[in-house]
Amino acid sequence: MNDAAAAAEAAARGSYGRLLAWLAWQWRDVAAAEDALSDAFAAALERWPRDGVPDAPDAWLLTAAKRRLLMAARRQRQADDPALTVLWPDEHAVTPDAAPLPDARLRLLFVCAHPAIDPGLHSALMLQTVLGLDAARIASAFLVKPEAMTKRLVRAKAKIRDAGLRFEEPDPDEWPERLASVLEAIYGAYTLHWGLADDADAGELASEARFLAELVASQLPGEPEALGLVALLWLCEARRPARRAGYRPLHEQDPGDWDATLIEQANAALHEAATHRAPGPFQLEAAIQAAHTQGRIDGRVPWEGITRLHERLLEIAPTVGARIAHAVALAHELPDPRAGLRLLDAIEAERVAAHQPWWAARAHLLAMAGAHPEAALAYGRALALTVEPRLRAWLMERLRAGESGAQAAG
Amino acid sequence: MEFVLTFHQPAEVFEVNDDPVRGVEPMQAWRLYMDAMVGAGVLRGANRLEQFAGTAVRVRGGKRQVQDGPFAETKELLGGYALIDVASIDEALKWAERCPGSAVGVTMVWPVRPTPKPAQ
Repeated sequence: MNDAAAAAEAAARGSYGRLLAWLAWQWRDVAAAEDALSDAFAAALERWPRDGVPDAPDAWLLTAAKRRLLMAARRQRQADDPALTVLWPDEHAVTPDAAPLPDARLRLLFVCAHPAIDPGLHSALMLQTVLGLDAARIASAFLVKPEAMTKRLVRAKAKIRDAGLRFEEPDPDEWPERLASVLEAIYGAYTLHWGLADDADAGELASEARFLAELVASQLPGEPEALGLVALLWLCEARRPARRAGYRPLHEQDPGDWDATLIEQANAALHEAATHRAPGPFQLEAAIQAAHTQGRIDGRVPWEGITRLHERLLEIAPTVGARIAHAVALAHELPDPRAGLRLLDAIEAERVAAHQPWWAARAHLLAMAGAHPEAALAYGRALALTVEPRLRAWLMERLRAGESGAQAAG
Repeated sequence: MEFVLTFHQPAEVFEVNDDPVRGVEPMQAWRLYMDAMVGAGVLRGANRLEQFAGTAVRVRGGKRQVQDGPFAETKELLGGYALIDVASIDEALKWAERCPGSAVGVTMVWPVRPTPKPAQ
């Protein structure tokens, strides 16, 4: 690759979200900003090899994109708007203004997770706008048809423009709810990588989401839930490399394979969050992860404390996932795992009939209770509901162990 | 909404699946997959096909042409299908992804066009 192409690509990776957020904020039109920026990148690929890479590539791209936006605006006869005229870049400027851009990415995240936008699209919009992922990749990550994903994203962006969604900070009375939507969408983007079988794809998606969480935490250091989310992702990421060798549930993993620095960083963020005395779902999730991690390191998993954390979490967010995790924790805390099984069976059947984690949890608790034939059936069901090769290998192992256990018992 | 999933796999995969020893594991995966669809209440019907024994019949300009499979032009053979009833195309794609055949071949998802009700 030549220097110009490499420089354009570096700029695309490093500054795409920053440039797009600024343009979208100024124009209140995400789709138009995206078009202008992609035109600017195309122009760079054509011009830079001929004229040399500019000293400030980002500023060059921004100037080119602004010019395109203005040309489009003029065509729409909006050029008499003074707000636009002020932004008209000087055609004869030798070097574009290289002053650092105000970071508008947080504003863009708030717009992506706006209550007027379908919550199912919040994560996808963030991945496309702030991180520049293309619609086809996003469609694969979400397992939807590429054409359908493109349509949904286009519609969402039209809504942002037509409904005039504000790029300003949310008002204090709606702040907690708006921030919660942003954090949830980032977490949603992070969890997508669990569904990807390919290591490289999954790793890339996980680090993109982690980047967003770090961005929000760094811009809102006084928000305990933003710290909770980043702590949670750091704890998950600290253990991700260990999974390359094969899937193991947390209590069977070797802490030596974990990233100790990241765990320390997460614990520090969690302590900082706790000083605000405002627990929320992400702080609780992270605290549960931290307790498991610490328990694995010093050999004593504090199941009782973990169960209490799960109970607090259920009070705030009684999701199916939280109910499953609570049931498993209770089964480990009490001498008889059947109490946990009863909690699992209390979840409405139609919500979990095709939900792999429920079947895996049920299988695990049945095996704990010594009901091996039933456990084998449940492992089999879990196996059919996941495509992740390492998880499949582990479930297969448990299924086999259950089958031989059943034979020995019979 | 009804969808037909068609399971296309390379010939070698069928050879492995039909082998009494090497086929045990893949066939168990298929059985578990079908069980899971039944358990989730989405399966309306499914069949395996004799993927090597298909016969093509064409009539062109009144002339009849009969050709035996397997057909060289297709690398992947149609080994079976399932009719499922799910809430959305997204659900159907999920079931296609979980299909053991998707890891070695391709699973196609076809929306069933609703049949107009016959006039009384």
